[in-house]
Amino acid sequence: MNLYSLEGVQQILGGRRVLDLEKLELEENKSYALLGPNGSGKTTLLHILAFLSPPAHGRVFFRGKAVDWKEKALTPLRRRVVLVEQHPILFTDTVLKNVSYGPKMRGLSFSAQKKIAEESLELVGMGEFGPRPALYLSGGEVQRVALARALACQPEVLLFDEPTASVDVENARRIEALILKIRKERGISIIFSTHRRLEALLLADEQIFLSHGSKIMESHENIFSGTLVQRGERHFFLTEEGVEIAVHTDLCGPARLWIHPEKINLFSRKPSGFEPETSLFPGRVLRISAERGKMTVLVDMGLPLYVRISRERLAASGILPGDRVSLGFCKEAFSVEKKPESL
Amino acid sequence: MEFFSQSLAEALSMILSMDQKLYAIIWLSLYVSFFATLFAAILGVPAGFGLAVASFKGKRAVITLVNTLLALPTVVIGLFAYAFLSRSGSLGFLGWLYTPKAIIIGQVILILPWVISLTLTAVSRIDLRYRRTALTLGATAFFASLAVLREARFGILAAVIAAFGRAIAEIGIAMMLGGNIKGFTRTMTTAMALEHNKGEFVLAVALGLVLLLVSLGMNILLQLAQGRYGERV
Repeated sequence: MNLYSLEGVQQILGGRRVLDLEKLELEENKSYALLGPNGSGKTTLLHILAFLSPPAHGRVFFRGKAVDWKEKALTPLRRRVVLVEQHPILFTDTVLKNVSYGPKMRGLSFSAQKKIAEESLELVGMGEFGPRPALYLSGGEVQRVALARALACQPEVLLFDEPTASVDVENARRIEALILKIRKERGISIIFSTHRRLEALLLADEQIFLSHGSKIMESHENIFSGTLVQRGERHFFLTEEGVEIAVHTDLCGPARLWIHPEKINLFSRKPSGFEPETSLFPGRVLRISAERGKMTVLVDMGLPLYVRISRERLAASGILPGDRVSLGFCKEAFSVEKKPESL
Repeated sequence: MEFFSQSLAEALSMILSMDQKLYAIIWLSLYVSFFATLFAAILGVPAGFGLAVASFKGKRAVITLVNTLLALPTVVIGLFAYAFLSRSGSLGFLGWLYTPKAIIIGQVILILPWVISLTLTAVSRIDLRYRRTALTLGATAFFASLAVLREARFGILAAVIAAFGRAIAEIGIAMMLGGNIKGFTRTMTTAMALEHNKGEFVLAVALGLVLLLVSLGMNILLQLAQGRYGERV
């Protein structure tokens, strides 16, 4: 049985469709990363999964049961799922009272509340912070207390909205380690949103890519907004950064271009005798990193472009960071779609 | 100037000598204003909170009406309540006209819009994440509202204190509904007006000083309440 099943779920905020998911199924005891740029609908989806806001259309099933969005029916569901926001807010009280809020709402005795709260604080390495006022904590500490507060609720599902986006690198690593530890020790299903692909690779069993409220098949990398224009027989995509790329499409007007990272050819020098339908662009290598057996090369070609190639091919090309390279795009490298219109 | 300093010195000696007449007036003023504030808080805080969190058709119109009532002149309230409490009025059978109860009713009408409006402002300023956090941590809608109310507590306390200040300093209602009866409905403000008319300034100055002291005391109380959290919980 699926943990969540979403069917035809749409969310409309301020007259704009911000989420449009035909079907989404999330399995039990897995961790999922929701990846996508700002405005892709990650937070909206998390609010629906946390039963905090009902979708405008569609049905949500939790462990096979359709969710009844009446306020009274929601409290028992919310007690099984906890959301930690991107910028968590702590009640103006002590750290301990903040962490014991969930157990208190579940009617646990005072001693049980205190015990669970203290254990949760210990788990996030903030055991000695219990009596302190929550008001004076740093951003990283607030994030960890919020995590302890969520854990004290002993949920079946933990939802995180960009858990490391608003903290420094040291705290981000700590929080990532805590999420891994919780997942390992408690077996809680975890769903989190992130901008960071590496974080998603590290923490998630599966990645879900969102763009403009819809699920897309692969990475959110290399998605650019711009305008499609026709010149003579050919169509060009003009990015907001001012780069002009020839594409095969019949569309015109505002659009999004996705350049598949795996379908980009990387050359250490300008190739000769290339197919006429292939566009060539000069660029400079900014960074090379390894991700699950593949190499990701970040190239500056007037806009940041991720290229994914095998370790062997990269080694054979001898490309290093700082090198000038040529990028070759065949027509299969592009996916173009019109920007969704507001309702 | 000499006349004022002489009145001030005599007023201070009157306060320090625990003058019975003076303290009876102070007591009555504090009594009516305390109960008026209490009733206004009981009615106004939930109303202001409800108005802040609920969404319903005509909400803007209700808020405009409440804000308009902030400017209600005390003499208009006095006249309005008089019409109900006088012998020929619909509440005349209660026999409350020219009693402290009548002053309390008038003052409740006066300060209720203040409590509602200031509570509404205090609650509206509270971050929406508090309610969302309480809900996701398993609170029912009622307990989530209490969590928001708790976060707005200093703003609400300020609203209640401001309302008390407005009640204790008003004169129109106390005069029209209380009748300024010596030893029974004479409040600080009505006594000050009477003493001024008589040309007797000592009691008026003494009462003025006490009014200022009450105001100072309320503000200190508010600061202490706010400071308590800031220093330690």
